[in-house]
Amino acid sequence: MRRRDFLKLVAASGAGAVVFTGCDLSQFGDGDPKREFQIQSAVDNPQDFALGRDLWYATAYPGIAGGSGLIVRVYEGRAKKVDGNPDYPLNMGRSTALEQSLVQELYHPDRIGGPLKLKGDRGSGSFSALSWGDAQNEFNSMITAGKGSTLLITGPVSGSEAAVVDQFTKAIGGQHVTYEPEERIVLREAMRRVFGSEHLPAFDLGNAQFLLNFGAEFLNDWISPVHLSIGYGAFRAGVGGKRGRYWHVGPQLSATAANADKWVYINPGTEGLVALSLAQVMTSQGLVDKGAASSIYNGISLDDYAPDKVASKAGISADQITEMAKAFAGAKPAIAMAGTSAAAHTNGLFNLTAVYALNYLVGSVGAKGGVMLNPDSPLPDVLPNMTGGTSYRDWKPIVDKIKSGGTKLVLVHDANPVYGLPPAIGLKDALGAGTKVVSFSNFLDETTTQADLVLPTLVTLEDWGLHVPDPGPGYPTVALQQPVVKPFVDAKSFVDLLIGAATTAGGSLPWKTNEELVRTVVGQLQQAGGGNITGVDDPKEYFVTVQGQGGWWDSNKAASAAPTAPAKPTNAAEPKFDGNGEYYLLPYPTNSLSYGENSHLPWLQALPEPISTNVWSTWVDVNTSTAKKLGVETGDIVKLTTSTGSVEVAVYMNPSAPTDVLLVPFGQGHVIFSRYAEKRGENPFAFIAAQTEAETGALAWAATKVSIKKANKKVRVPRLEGSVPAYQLEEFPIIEVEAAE
Amino acid sequence: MGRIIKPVIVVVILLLVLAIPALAVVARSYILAPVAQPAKAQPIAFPHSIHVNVVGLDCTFCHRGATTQADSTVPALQLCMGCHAIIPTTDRPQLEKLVNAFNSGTPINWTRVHQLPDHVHFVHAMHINAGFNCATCHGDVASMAPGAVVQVRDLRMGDCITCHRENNAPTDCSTCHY
Amino acid sequence: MAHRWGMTIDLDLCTGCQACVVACQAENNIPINTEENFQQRRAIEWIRVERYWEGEFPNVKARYIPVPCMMCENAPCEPVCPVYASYHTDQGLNFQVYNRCIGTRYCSVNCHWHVRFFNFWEPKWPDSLKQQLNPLVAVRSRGVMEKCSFCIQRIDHAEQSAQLQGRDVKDGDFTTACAQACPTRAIVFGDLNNADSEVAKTVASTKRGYQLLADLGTNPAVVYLKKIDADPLPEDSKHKYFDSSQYTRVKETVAVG
Repeated sequence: MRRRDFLKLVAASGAGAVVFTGCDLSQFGDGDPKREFQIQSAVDNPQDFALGRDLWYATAYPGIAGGSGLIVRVYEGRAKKVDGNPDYPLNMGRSTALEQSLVQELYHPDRIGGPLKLKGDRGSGSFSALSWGDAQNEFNSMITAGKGSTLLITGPVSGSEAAVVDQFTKAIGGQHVTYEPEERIVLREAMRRVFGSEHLPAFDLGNAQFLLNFGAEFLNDWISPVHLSIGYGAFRAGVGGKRGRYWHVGPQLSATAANADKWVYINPGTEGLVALSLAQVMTSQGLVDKGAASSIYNGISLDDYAPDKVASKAGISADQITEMAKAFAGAKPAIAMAGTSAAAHTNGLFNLTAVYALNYLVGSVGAKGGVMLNPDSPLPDVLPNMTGGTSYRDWKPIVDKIKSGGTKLVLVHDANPVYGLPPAIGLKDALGAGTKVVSFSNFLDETTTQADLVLPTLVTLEDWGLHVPDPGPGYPTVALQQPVVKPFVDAKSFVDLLIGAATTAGGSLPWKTNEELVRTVVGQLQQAGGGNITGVDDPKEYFVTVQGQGGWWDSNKAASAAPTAPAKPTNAAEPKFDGNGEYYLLPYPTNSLSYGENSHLPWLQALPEPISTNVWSTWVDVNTSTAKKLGVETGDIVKLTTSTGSVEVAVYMNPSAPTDVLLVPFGQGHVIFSRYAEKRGENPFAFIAAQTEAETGALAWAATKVSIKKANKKVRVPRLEGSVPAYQLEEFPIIEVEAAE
Repeated sequence: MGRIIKPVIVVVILLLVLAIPALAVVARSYILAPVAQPAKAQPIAFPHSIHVNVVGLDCTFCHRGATTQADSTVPALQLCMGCHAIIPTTDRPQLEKLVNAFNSGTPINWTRVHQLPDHVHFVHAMHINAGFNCATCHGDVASMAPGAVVQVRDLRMGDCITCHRENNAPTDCSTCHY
Repeated sequence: MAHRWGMTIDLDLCTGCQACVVACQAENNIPINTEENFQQRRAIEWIRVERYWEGEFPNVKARYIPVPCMMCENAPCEPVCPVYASYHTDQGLNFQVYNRCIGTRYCSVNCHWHVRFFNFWEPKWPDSLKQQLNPLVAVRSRGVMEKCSFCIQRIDHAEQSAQLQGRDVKDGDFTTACAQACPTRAIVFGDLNNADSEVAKTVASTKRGYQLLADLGTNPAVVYLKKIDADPLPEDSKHKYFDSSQYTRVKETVAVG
């Protein structure tokens, strides 16, 4: 379908959610053959809704930090297919496996159908159903009792939802903490120090000629995968002149690294040292302006990091470092990027700042084909930007306060900290210690089973919202989320519930419902001027147009001005590892399950991890020769022991795995989280050592050493590979080209 | 005698067994054929005759999808009520059912008369736009008794293919089956 | 002129993200692949992303290659079907008629690309997930082969819409689910017989084009663009796992269409 056609359809469907009375689960689609011989006359016939015909609605998904504009195909009141919104600047009609799977979240068989109240012991997962009226009364009394000492835990929020969260915390006198992947906390701090920016940056990959990436999974689950993939496509197709060249530096040939022209192995946690060494080579050999380096690496004597001094620590040769530096400085524009496991070390912040500072050396900050800084939200009061997560170190006093009874009420939404934080912190026991816990969740997960009251909330395709993506595309952007189908179960909007709670607590909010909030704020955007919609004066028409487009953005407003040197330097540090094992333990987020928050969606469970092609399980990637040495092969169970505990997982023989690193994917090991995720595999968060990043206090999940022992058991690892040979039998069709000049 | 009866019985049984396929073919063409089925019970005895012959409505007034899309679609009750809001229901039990359903917000589940299998994709719009009348396949629905619409045309693959051949329409499998 | 639907897959752009795989499953009512399905090698993925190794640590590379049905012009799966369930359409599609299939699986044995899948069991979904099923695609029952159809429902819909508007299908009127989702535009779908289409232009102009197992002479409608290897591995670390001298295969492009 052509872009313009999409636009027409999307715009035509401005009236919002389809209301298809009577088409409930008990009647159609239940597989009862006799229904096939029936045909239904609906009661209402909304203007934008024709029976027997599909319609596409624009909405948005805030789930990935970057956020995506979506179009959803709705057929007789049921969402069938999710695709990217062709107009939305971040994903331009493209989408990820996760976004495609949102329909499974909507129609998940284990979705909670209505309010639940704890029955029996906490954590047992035994609940009894109650009506929304009773649930609301109970919730209100908890809010009244919890006034002054309430803790609200959410996933990353921005835009209208963040505005309500602010109002709520103010009204109740409570505290709001955000749970997000801990390496992002380090990344956000690095952006503050290197670029002086509160927001994650946009990378102009399309115009770049060289990408030097230290571990960031930017094509898979990192900050904005679709946007960066689109940029990567342009980068490889040679939009900026020649085909861009991509070198990946890090301890793992990850799903992203496999796309690199060259992968350079370095020991875990030595990214920062190598970056300083690159800077040393570039300045000492006159590849870049030497004067600039002193202000960029303020307080660090670069000569201490000459290649021969760093090489042995990083596990590579000095020549390799020099070669890298020459390649990076030689191709302009060039981008240096770092993230994921590079940030998850005790020296994670140093790793990131040292790498991102390289962009200053080659003049790529704020330049075409470089790093673009994102501006503030167009309306910071009513549409706050995304704020960073709470570090592991900051979680500790919070958990202690819950444990000691200092917190009377804990509210949890869109976060599963009991699963995602190491058990050493004791959050599970703290929540079981008598504090009232309310979970706004659609699924019974590890955190929700600790709750006294479960209030199910609407999922992405059922709710309203305005989101400020972080990272944005380099200019102010707001995504509009609208319901594309009627709620499938008896759930309520989280924002509506929070507005109600804030009112109960004595606050006075200018909006009564989520929808009213969205409509009001879009009106304010119109008054503020600018944006993608011009020539529309009538507020109603303006809103409908924003609905059809899927959001508001102003590509004429330039990105924030870029600084010329890092705002604050970071001290150089070497990584520290916990434990006596002889191998590094490197857990890694996979492109489908990420850190385990999407494990309940069967399409994602059944999606092969790109490198190993394994599915539905936890395994450990062991280098082929290491495996031979240990006497194990694919399918053999091994026991991994860290200072925290030990687990048994199956071996996957991986010829790309480093000889002294054991790789374990995140995502599994849910005790309870729907029929597709529970009691499946192991959770790496539960057996890594709870080390923290030295400065930010974020969990350093890659800073553990591990030992491995054969367990004399064997399983059949479920995977795609096997029906096809792992090594090609004919010469791989590859064009070898000369190195770019 | 016994010596003759035994082979005769064997032969008769053999003939009966051999006749089963032949009978099945005959049954498929006559007793089991869609057109041989009696009218199915409907929740409301809807009189097509009044709407077409007396009021003079076109088929597509109610079956709005027929000219533009795959499904011809049955109308929503809202459309019925466009007229029926002002038509008295006294002594009209069938009409009362409609008004009650609309007022209580209950959709009406009609019994399908023309049921094609799942793996057949029929598109009304293509046939109407090729110049065929609704009656070509559905017969004279207006003259059928209220609530007793029956299938008048075989509409099995042989029927479809014959018509497609006569009219130079595509007979590729993928035209209908996917 | 008759259409010849084709696809180009640029391996230099493919990142192995597998958005195409899920997009295909959502569009074509593919049953949920359970753990047991994978263990029994019975997982159904009309398009899959294969990974190939080159070398071993530290000189190692992994390559991705998405594999849908090749839509061969001389398809090996067709002549072996005893009931003509696997046949060639007027538009050059290699097509599976589900209602005709009797499940001999000869076609899957004869397919060199392993892109035909057999329904060993009746596909099952929980009741609520059935709400997602695409009404325009039949759910295949037990005992039936299934395979990539190049989203025939979208092709038919686009052709019918064009016919109702009194015109011919244009390039970009529609695309397959995998191509629509692909973030890097590695997969492009179109009419190879239409010289103005993006795929035809790419096939005509590229120097990187090749067909998978082209030497079998089936002339697939899926044309791959070779990956560019700007920094090749050292010669001695390449192809460690087979003796390339034993395999003298055609390396050059075979023309299409």
